[in-house]
Amino acid sequence: MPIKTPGSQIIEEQHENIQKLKPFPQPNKQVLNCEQTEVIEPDHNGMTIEEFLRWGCKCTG
Amino acid sequence: MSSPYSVFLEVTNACNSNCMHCRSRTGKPLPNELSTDELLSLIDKIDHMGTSFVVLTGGEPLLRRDILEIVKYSCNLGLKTVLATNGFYLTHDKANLLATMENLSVQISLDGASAVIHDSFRGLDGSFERAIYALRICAEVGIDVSASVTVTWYNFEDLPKVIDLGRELRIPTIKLRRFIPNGQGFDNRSLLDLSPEEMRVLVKFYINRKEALQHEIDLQMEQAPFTIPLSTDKSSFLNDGTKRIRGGCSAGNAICVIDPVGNVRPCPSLPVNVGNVKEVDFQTIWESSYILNQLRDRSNLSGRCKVCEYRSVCGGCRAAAFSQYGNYLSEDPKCWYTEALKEKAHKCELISV
Repeated sequence: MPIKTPGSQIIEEQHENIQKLKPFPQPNKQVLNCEQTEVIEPDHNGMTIEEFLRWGCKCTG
Repeated sequence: MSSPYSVFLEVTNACNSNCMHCRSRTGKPLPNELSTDELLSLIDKIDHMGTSFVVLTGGEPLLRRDILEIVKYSCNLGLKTVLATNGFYLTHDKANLLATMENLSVQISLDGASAVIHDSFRGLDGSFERAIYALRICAEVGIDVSASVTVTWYNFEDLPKVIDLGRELRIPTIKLRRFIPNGQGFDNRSLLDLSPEEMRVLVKFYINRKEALQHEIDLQMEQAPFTIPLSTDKSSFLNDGTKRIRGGCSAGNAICVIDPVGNVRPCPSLPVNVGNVKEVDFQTIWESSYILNQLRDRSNLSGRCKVCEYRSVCGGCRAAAFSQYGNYLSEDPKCWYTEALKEKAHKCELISV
């Protein structure tokens, strides 16, 4: 698949090379083990709101 | 009391579009979606916790009959409220009403500079025309409006034209958003996903255009940390030796999502439920969820993200990691910066085995 760049004029058919679709990923059970009882102290190690606005992901979907 | 800075409320699963990249599999409303009273009560709770931003999204939020009531309620509490819509149902009357609400901004999806790209991407004829109309009337009546572009392989080449269109429409802000292959987007990922190299080109394009257009339009990239290694003052972003998160992935540490039936997720693109507000108090979920707490400590990450010098300000995209590996703590598979770290990450994992 060619590398695209904004504004370039690649004319290859966009729908070629369609990979065989895999099923939707299933959660890794080891990671999702909600039975674990350890609760980390919720200090969140968090960013400040200024850092959030400047560098935090605000992906709105 | 701790709180997310921003809470995304997916107010309905109903949607009139059929977007190739959709993180959900929206279409029809779910039978047990949160009622008006439940949503208003939840917004009260969010406000009480100290949250600053509420993003009303979907599905398509304008398909809820009570959406204007919900928007108004949130705005009146002083919450900075974002209505994220495809604009299809945004009439002049609704725009005039929205223009009277303080603290509101409207975000309209724009995935191409022509109907050919936008409509095929969104699976809905006429959606481009309606999105342009919505952007235009919002700007006209003085609403703080932005266009949101999900950048994919499908519309990558069209980006300069999309930005030109935004300038022509006098839209104050254009947001570039990275495509995360989940939901319907996962099925279409082979058509849409950018390679790490294309991600690098995108970041460079963004940096150049942002500077060139700084007096004309606010070009934003929602995943700003990816720009750091190409910025001129990157030394201040290096890990500072503490565990503190200083930017980057906000999932579970600065944001979270509540879906139409009350399930809580760490971020819009990460399909992992951590509780339900109909069963457990939202604040309890936010503070004690094991998964959210895992995400708050980046030493839990693996692969290249674990050893990256920018871990504290980036952390990679947890949703992208989940999409690729089924593990939200894995490395970001599309990071263009950390290619050179593969060997280091591999050695690190060998030592820890």
